[in-house]
Amino acid sequence: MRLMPDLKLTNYFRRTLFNESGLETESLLYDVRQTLRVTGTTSLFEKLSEQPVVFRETWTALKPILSSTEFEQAADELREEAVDLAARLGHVHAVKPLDLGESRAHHIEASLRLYHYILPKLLLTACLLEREFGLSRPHAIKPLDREIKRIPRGAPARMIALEKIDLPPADRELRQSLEDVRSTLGLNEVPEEFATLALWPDYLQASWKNLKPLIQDAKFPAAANQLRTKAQLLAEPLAISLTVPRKNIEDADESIDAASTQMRAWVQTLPSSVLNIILLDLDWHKPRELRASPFRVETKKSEGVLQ
Amino acid sequence: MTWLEYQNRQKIAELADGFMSYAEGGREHNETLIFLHGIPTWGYMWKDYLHVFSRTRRVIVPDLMGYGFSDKRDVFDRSLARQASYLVELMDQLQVKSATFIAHDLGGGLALRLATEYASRVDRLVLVNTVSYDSWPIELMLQLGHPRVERALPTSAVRQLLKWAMRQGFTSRPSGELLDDILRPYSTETGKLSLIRNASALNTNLTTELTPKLPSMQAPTLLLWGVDDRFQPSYYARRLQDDIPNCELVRIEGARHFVMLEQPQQMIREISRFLVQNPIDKSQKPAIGTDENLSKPKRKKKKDTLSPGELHA
Repeated sequence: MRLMPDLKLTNYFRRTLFNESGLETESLLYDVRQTLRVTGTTSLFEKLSEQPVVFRETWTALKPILSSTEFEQAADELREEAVDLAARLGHVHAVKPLDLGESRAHHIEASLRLYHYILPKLLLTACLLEREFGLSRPHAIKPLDREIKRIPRGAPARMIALEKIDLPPADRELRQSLEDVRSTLGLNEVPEEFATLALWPDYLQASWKNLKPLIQDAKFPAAANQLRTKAQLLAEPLAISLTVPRKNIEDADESIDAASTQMRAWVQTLPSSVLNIILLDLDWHKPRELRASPFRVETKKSEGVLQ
Repeated sequence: MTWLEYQNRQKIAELADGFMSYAEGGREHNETLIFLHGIPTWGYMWKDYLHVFSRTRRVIVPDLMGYGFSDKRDVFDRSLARQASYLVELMDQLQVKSATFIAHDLGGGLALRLATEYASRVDRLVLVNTVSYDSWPIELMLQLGHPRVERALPTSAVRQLLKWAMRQGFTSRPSGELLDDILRPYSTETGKLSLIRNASALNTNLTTELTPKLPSMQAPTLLLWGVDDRFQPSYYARRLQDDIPNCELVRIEGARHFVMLEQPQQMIREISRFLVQNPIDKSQKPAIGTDENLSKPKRKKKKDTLSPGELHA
């Protein structure tokens, strides 16, 4: 069967098979997914990877921390705090009026569980990098006096695939809903968790309708601020072992300042994302169920020296 | 019925390797029909048939693993051999001892594997423009299955390519809305990658190795073939008719590959006739869960037909 004359796959193959320059970034993104235990690439790391050398140097420094049981425990603690804060904000009550069907309910609930797991880890990561990039020059590593225990690599067996719609969507009503989300949250872009919820437009619209007034209430930013402070406190003891070398980045003419600006933005916006997902998840689970990590890892500490 | 309305009807079965979405109707009936889709489609292709046949039989329409709204993670085998075992796992979960498989395209190849490798689970076969022998994969799928396509082509380009290809499967140009609905599950990066993996799992060996087993097939078989199909030419239908015992071929004129969407009335008529003319052995134990229905009053016998209003719902 003849292919479309203006869309020859062979031309694409020729460009990609013999162009290996994207492969290092692709490999690093794979390593990020495996380390963070998530089924897809999150926006924070997608954006960071737009500067390949910054990304490589940052990830090399970051990986030992993010693969540690201490980081996982800190994320667990942050998640617990977030649930306690969200539970006091109110309820969305979007699910019952909708006729979701078993398959769609499964997909939505599993996606909320994915974000409930990963967003606290991303917030901690952003806090670590905000602190590190904010230093005028890298500090010397202070070796820890114990060995770091690693968490298992790879996404949990039952974590759903991380899936998002392409933005902007073709459907006008959906586009308007997402634009309302973006502008209400005061962001430059639609947050990725809403790009996932947009896979089920009726659920997105029903849940956003009830979530929006909670976000606009004065209690919400106060809760977000409290969560941010907690994240920064939890990141502090982890940050002392993080140093991103600057020389290779400067030699490649890439910008630590740009990465720093990105991380400051993430630190500002991610607390809201964490709370929003929990508020939606409270339609499916009680607070005490949500306090526990949805994909728990054995996180016992042991003695030793940091390599 | 829109894709969203169809997905709303779908249920979930948790299998060992992941989850499978499936639609179901007519659970109260003894006899089970399982409709299987092909590539790059999903159970939605059979929406009208689910509606019609569930009046008189239990109908199950799964999205194969990696397709539709079933699990699309990059962690399991999507070969026909493995898909057959997933289907048997689904049947076990739904307590279906055996079923009649009505299968299109790749689904037909899967049904042939079931009829040869899991013969006791297959009552009858209806194969619709099915892959067989070395009739597949088509060139487009070979190229789509290359691992680098994920990086080479954005989702929008893959969708454009698939829409173009799918139009070749219709005699008259289908509506853009229909093609969008069919390709909906593959319209995200995750869906695109899943489709690429599905394409890379296409292996002609998994039907060529069945060739010596076809003459031993027990299940009565009906071949329904859109004769103008450019993807699966009708000479494969004639070869199947020669090789499979108790096999009938009905050529459907004025139809190409997606004959179930082009000629639904004729398809339903032929399937219904075949089912009636080839009853299942009554001594077989009925599907578990129906015994409690024996005391219910008998209902007036319904026909397997699709009214024009229903056809265009």
